[in-house]
Parts: sequence; structure tokens; C-alpha cells
Amino acid sequence: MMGTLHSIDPAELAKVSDLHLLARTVVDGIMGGMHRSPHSGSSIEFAQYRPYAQGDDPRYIDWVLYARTDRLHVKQYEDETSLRCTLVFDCSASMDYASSAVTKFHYARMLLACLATVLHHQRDSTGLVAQRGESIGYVPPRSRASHLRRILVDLDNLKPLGASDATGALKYLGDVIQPRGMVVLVSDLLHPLDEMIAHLKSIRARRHDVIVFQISDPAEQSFPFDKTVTFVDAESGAEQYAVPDTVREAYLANRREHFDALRRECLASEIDLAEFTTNEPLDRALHHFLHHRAHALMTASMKNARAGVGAR
Amino acid sequence: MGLSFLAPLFFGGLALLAAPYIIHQIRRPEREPIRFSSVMFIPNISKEVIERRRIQHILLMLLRMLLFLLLALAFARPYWKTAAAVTETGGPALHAILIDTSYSMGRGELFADAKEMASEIVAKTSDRDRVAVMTFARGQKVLAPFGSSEDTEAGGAVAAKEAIGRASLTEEGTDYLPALQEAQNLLTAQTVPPGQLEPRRILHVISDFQKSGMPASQAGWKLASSIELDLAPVTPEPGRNLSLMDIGIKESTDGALRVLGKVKNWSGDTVTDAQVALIVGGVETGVNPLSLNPGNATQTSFVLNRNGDGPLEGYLELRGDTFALDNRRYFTWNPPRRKPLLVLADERGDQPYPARTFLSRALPDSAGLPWIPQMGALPDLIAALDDPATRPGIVVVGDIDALDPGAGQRMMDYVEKGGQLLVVMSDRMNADVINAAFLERAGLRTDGPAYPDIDPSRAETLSWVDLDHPVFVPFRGANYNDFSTIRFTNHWVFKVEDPAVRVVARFDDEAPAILERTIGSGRLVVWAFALSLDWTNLPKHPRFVPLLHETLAYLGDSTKAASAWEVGRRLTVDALAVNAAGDSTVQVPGQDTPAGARLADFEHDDVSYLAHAGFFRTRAPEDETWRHVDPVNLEAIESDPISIAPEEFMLKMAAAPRIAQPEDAPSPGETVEPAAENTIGAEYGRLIIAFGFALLLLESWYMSSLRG
Repeated sequence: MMGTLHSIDPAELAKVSDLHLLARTVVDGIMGGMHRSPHSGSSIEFAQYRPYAQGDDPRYIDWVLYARTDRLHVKQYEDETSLRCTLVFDCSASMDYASSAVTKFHYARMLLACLATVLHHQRDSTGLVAQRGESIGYVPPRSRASHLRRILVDLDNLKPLGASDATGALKYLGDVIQPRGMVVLVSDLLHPLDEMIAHLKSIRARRHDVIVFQISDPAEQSFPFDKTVTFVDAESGAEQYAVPDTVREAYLANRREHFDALRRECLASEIDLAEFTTNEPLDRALHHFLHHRAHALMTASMKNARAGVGAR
Repeated sequence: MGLSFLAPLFFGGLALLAAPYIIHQIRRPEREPIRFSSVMFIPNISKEVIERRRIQHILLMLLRMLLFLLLALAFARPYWKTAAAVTETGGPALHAILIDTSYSMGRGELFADAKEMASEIVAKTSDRDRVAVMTFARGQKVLAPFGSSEDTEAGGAVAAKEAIGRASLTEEGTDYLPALQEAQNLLTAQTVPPGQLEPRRILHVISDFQKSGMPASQAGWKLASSIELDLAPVTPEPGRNLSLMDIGIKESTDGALRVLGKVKNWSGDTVTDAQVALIVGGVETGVNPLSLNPGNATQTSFVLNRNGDGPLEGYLELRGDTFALDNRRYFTWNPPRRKPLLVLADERGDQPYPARTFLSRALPDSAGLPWIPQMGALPDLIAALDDPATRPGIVVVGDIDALDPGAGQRMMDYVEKGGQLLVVMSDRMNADVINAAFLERAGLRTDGPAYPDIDPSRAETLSWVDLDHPVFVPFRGANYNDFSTIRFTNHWVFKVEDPAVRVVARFDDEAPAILERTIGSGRLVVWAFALSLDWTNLPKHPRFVPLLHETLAYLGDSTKAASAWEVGRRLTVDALAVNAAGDSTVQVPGQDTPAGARLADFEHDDVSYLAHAGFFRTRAPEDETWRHVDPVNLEAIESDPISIAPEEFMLKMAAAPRIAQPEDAPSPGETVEPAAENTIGAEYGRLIIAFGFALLLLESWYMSSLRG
């Protein structure tokens, strides 16, 4: 039953113009049955007051409130989930390709909106990095409710660019964000292999947990063209005359070789790489992400336990 | 000499040559670049490859253009003109004038125009020429022969003109081939004494050249090369042209009759005010209004309640059309006739259930069955064969002891003359007698039963039956086609010595179980097993009665007399009702009083020829009422006004050229040079289509090679 509820065709989802509504629709389906963590802890984010009970740490008694009301209350803070997630959106022109109703860009945007909503549900801090014209736009990770809306608005305003430097966004990211977070890259990975691998490794070296969602179009996977035709590169504008029946095998071999190399490097660097096509329901990607997040949190807590680090 | 075309209008199809060019332009690769996410994985193709492909595509385009060119050329039907074979002549000319008198010539002033044309041809002949006049429709009639050289009156212009004046329309359809053959015989029969110049032989055909008059099957025959063919087409004025094309009568389950008529509008005008009336026994019983678009046909129907069981006769009449001849079609309704069926099977003291028992029970005298059974012995059959009045339509030879070669030969004579014979083998028959009696004449031979004794444990089945045979067609359904439960402990072994014998069913050992052979106009069916419970369980099996009835129905249908006749044909003996002496009284359409007819020579008698539409009636001379009435109608296809172009007619029928007009007749000894139109056609359309097909295969191969 669950599967039928949230396995919505991306082409149908693409008709929903409100990203917030779209993401909520998808994520509510995915998260149905899951519960928000009831644990509150101490952090810099104030959550509420609670009457003092025996056993409470006296350090958290609000003495000012006691002076005003003559009753003991302890301050409760939002429990930090210990996950800061930065979403990296590849807005290059190659993402603006579609053989069917949904472009890779549109699919990636829907996916990112859903990821942001999922992260918000889990009270994780979510940030966004994307190229915006000549500059790179950066929304630092936060977990406030209003922050989700800001990310969604930012996503809504993004447009596919001409020639873009997606790897530049990764490089920029490496410079600005704090270590030990999670970085989610959503891209078609149609960039020079060496550069891409170098930046991913650089982020990984800063102890980030990196997960890469490779978005592909079905036509890129099968090269189904039959007429002799001139192909125009979406980013560079370069033209390539081709007889599809003749070059199909070589094309598929080249593509396979490119991504196999990338996959090998990612595996070696413990970077999670998963490919999704624009005709697949979003829930598959979201499940993949949730699974990865759970695994990352467990690994982090085990490391912390080994290091003797306690929560505040 | 030179190339010419029968249908040059099809060259308009050359405009299609632009189609491949336009398609190639639209589909040119450089015209429709595809924006792709990245070309980094697409391998480079060299400039030379691109150039080569461009040339290949141009070649493909030219190939396709050539295909269209050939298509247009083939439809234009090219033929090659060659010089006339006859170049030297000079004697007097022989003119045979063929005037079409089919009923379609009755439209407007066609026939008057045709006679005028014939008179003009006669007027242009010289004194030394001789002229013969023939009319033709379905049959032919020589109105003025050439005569002989001694008889100067015959073959002259005066006699010809007088014959043309006498020519009259018939109600027949058109058939060009026998008319041309007859005219050729007339022309070639005229010989010249030695030393005299060979005369020119010219055949003039004056007709509306209806396409229906020359079926494709006649295309093989051509006029002799010594005969020049001159065609004079007459064309009707355009106008309203409706015709009653068909008529039918059906009996519904409640006993009422439904009369159906098919009306076609041949003209280019819409007709809204036409009517079809039903007249039965001279009384109008109904009128249906009609509305018809150009070129369309429609069906109209009337319900007719019968009064009594006697025959009915009537006609449908189309009103609102000026050409009246094809506006009436006749119908009759005769109560179904049950055929006499003679079953020969002896009583047997040695068997409680002989074949006679099974046959008599399976063939009761019931009004629901299409035959009147009569059980008899061999002498009964011999006596019945001698009496034309009592001669049975079908004979079943079951189990008879005294079959001798003489009786068998009589039976085969009966079959040859249209009789239907079912022979069920019996355990008492002698192989030599049977072979000599009738099997050898049927191309069959038997060596006797397969086994000398009866062993109930040895059971064969019908391993194969021909479900396409009319006898087995009703058994095709999944619930009925299982014959495996019919067991045979013994059977006769037949050797088929003539390919005309058709095996309808076989036993497990491949021996024929049921055989059929057409002999003369009759038919023989043999069941290669005895209807004895020692031999088979078939008589007790649920399939027995249906199988026997279907076999007899099959045999009965083959003798069914035609119930509808066409003008221009002859009646057959099957249509006659005769008395014991073979005499009959008939009345054919156009006859005011009934005439006598004899069975023996009826088919060659004048009274059997149908010259008019109406009713054919027959009875025995001593009968007071007509025993049978059949409708006689015009050939419906003759109403079809579509004509064939004279050039095409010439191409199909003429082997000789039209070399000169009568006024250009040469003087004795003068050499005639073939003129430009003096041609013999050889059509190349099919050859071009064959070449085009080969080109299409080449194009397919070339295109697949380009893709590969």
C-alpha cells in the first residue's frame, strides 16, 4: 500500500508548481509511520520550559524565572541531531535535457526539495550550494522551520545555466563549510573525470560523508536515436555528426567506461554513488538517502563512543 | 514505329517524383540537429565519412525517384508500335461489319447511331469490295454474308444496307470474343483463285465497347494477322441511368417470403424520386421510394405473404428511369422439390440387423428431408433407369447379392448422364465382380476385404477425414469432429488408379475409407466398409445418420437444376418436367403459346434458347397446371456502362494493324507503306512493374546497408 501511495510518476509530479507542496506530498508518503524524535536535549537552540523534577541537572534551572514565579523550571533545548547536511545542486546546461516530459534539472530540483524536507523532518540542519549565474549561491545549514522555506524558494528560483562549472561549486563548498557534515551532490556527472574526482576526494578528506545522486535521462543510457543526425552539446554548443546505429555501441562503451572509473574512485574514497533516471519515482532515491543517513548516524555515534565524546 | 501509351494521363503521377526530394530535404541530418546533454561520449566521424554518406543519401533519393518514375510509366501502360506485317496488297477489300445489338445499345440513340455508322462504312466501299453484315450480343447472327464470286448480289452494298436496316436490338448481354471469332471465320473463309491478288480483310466493330463484354480470361485470343481491325465506338449521352441489378427471394421462418432487389445508380446525378414496385401475379402489391447518390447501390425489400403452397411469379419494376429495359427483374417461388431416392439393399436371413435395416431407419419418408426414399432391389433400379419419369435422382447401393457386371455398367451409364450413386460395400460382394461391374470404369480397384476373418479385438478407426469436403464441413466444430470412437474390425482395400478419384477419409492403415469420383455429369461415392455390426459400430454410432444425410445432401445438390436463367443462354434438360415418354410442354419468354419439347433433343432445340426476359414454364403434356416456373432475367452486368478504350480493345484483340482507310484503298499492284498508326502493340506495363519490384528490393537492401 505504501508503495502505491508515494510512487508517483515524476512526469505527474513535475506538473505541481509549488515545490513545498510537491515535497510535502512525496515526503509525507515516504515518512508515513515514522515518528519525529521525542528526545529534547541541551543545545544553543531553546525549545521550552519544563517544571523541575528530581534528577534534573540543576545547571539547567532557570533562576531568573524562579525569581519571577517562585517555581523551579528547567530550560530545554533542541537536541542537535549531529547532522549538518549540505545539498549541492548541479545547474549546468547538460541538466536541462529531457527525452521525455521531465528534464534532469527538474527531476534534480524535485529530489532536492524532497531531501530538504526529509532532513527538516529529521531536525537536521540543511544547507544548499548551487551556481547562480556567475556566482555561487550558498545557504548555510540550519534546522529552523523557516529555513526549509528559504531553501525551497532558492531551489524554485534556480535555472539551468549555459556552460557552468559544477566542480567549481564543489571546490567552493570545500572552502566554506565546517568539517564532519554530510554533502549530497545531485548532478549528471557529465564533467571531466579527473577534476570531478579530485574535488569529491577533497571534500571527503575533510571528513564529510559524501553521497552522490547521479541523474540520467533514459535516452542517455540507451541512445535510442535512429536517424542520422547532428548532435549539439548542451553546454559547449559543439556539434557532432553521428549515425546512431553505427556509433551506439561506441557511445555506450565510452559512457560505461567513464562512469565505471568514477564509481571505482568513489568506492575507494567511501563515497556513495547511486544513479537514478528521470522516469523513476522519487521515493527510490529518498529511500536510498534515508538508508544512507541512518547508516551515517550510526557510524558517527559509534566513532564518538569510541572517542569518549558525550553529548551536552 | 515508336513508343506509345495507353493511359498517358498517368504521367500526371510524375509529380510524385518530388516526394522523395522533399522527404530527403526535410529529413536531412543537418536540418534537424538534436540538442543533447553532452557529446563527450559520441565518437568522432571523419569528414570523408560524412561526405560519403551524403552521396549515399543522394543515391538513395535518386533510386526512390526512379521507383516513382517507373510506377508512373507502368500505369501509363507503354507499348511499342511496330510496322505492319502486310505491306503489299491491291485486290478488292472484304469488309465485315459487326454491329453490337446487346440491350445496352438501346440507350438513347446509340443503336441508330451504330446503324448510321455501318451505312457510312458501306457507302465508302468501292464497287470491287464485298461487304458482310453481322450482329452480335451474347450470340451472333450473319445478316448479310459475303456470298460467292458468282453471286454478285450477295456481298454487295445494297444487300449490306438492307441487312443494316433489318438489324434489331436484342435483350442479350455482350460477348466480344465469339463474335470476333465468328467474324474472323467469315473473313478468312473467303478465298481467291490462284493468280489473283489477296484481298484486304477488314473487320469493322461498331459497339459501345462495354468492359463487361470482354473478361480478362479472354485476353489470350487475338485476331489473325491478315485481318485489319477498325473500331467505331458509339457513346451514350450522359444522363440518368438506373438499373435493377439483382433480385432474390427468401423464405423466413414464419413462412413469409421476402423479395429483395438491388438498385444501382450508374449516372453522375443524385436520384431522389425513383421507385421500385413489386408486382405479383399481375397485381401491384407494394411500392418503395428510393434515393441514390451517384455510383451507389442500394437494396430494397418487400414482404410477401403466400396464399397456399403453389408456385408464385412476379417481378420488381424500377420507375423513374428513361432506359426501361434493365428496369425489370423477374422472380418465382416454387415449393421445394424432393428428389426421388432409391435404396437398394436386400433382406438377409443370416443377420438380424442387415444394412437394409439401418438404411431404412436412417432414411424415413419425411417431408422435412429433401428426398423421397424408396427401398428396392436391383431389378427395381434397372426398371427405374429405363423410365425417364421415374429415374431416381440418387441411388444408394447398400447390400445386394446379385450385382452383375451388366447391372454395374448400367449404373455407371446412369452416373455418366448425371445420376448420383452411393455404393456402400458389403461383406457379400465379390471383388472381381465389383471391379468389372463399375470400379474399373471409375478408376478404382479392390482386392477384397483387408482381413479374411472377423476379430472384434482388431479395431481400426478413421485416422483422417477431409474436413474441407462438403460432406464433412458440418462436422468441423470441436464437438463434432471426433470420429475416433467409430470402430472398424474389417474394411475393403481400395487402390486408387486415377488421380481424379478423391479420397475423403482414411483408415488407420492409410487405406481409403470414403472415396469420390466425378464421372460425366454425375458422381460416385464409395464407402469402403459394410454396414454390418460385425464390421463396424457406425450404424449404432451418433455420427451415422448425419454422415449418411450429409453424403446424400451433397449428392443431391450436385444435380440441382439452375433456378434462374439469363437471356442469351440455353435451358438444360434438368429444367424440364417430363412424362414417362420424355415429352414436355414448355413456354419460354416471348412465346405466346406453349410448345412441345422432347427430353432427348431439348438442349439443341430452338425452344430452349432464351431470347427475352420473363418466365419459363414447364409441365408434362398431360398436366393442366405448370409444374415448374423459373424466372429469366437480363444479364445484370450489361447495365454497367463502363467502357474500354478502343486502343485497349485493339491491343487485346488485334494482331493485325489498321493500315489504311477505305478511301485510301490502293490500286492493284500498289505497295502500301505502313502509316504511323499502323501498329501492333506489345505492352510493357507488367515488365516495368517487375523491374520496379526488383528496384524496390534493391532500395530496401541499400537502405538497410546504410543503417548497418
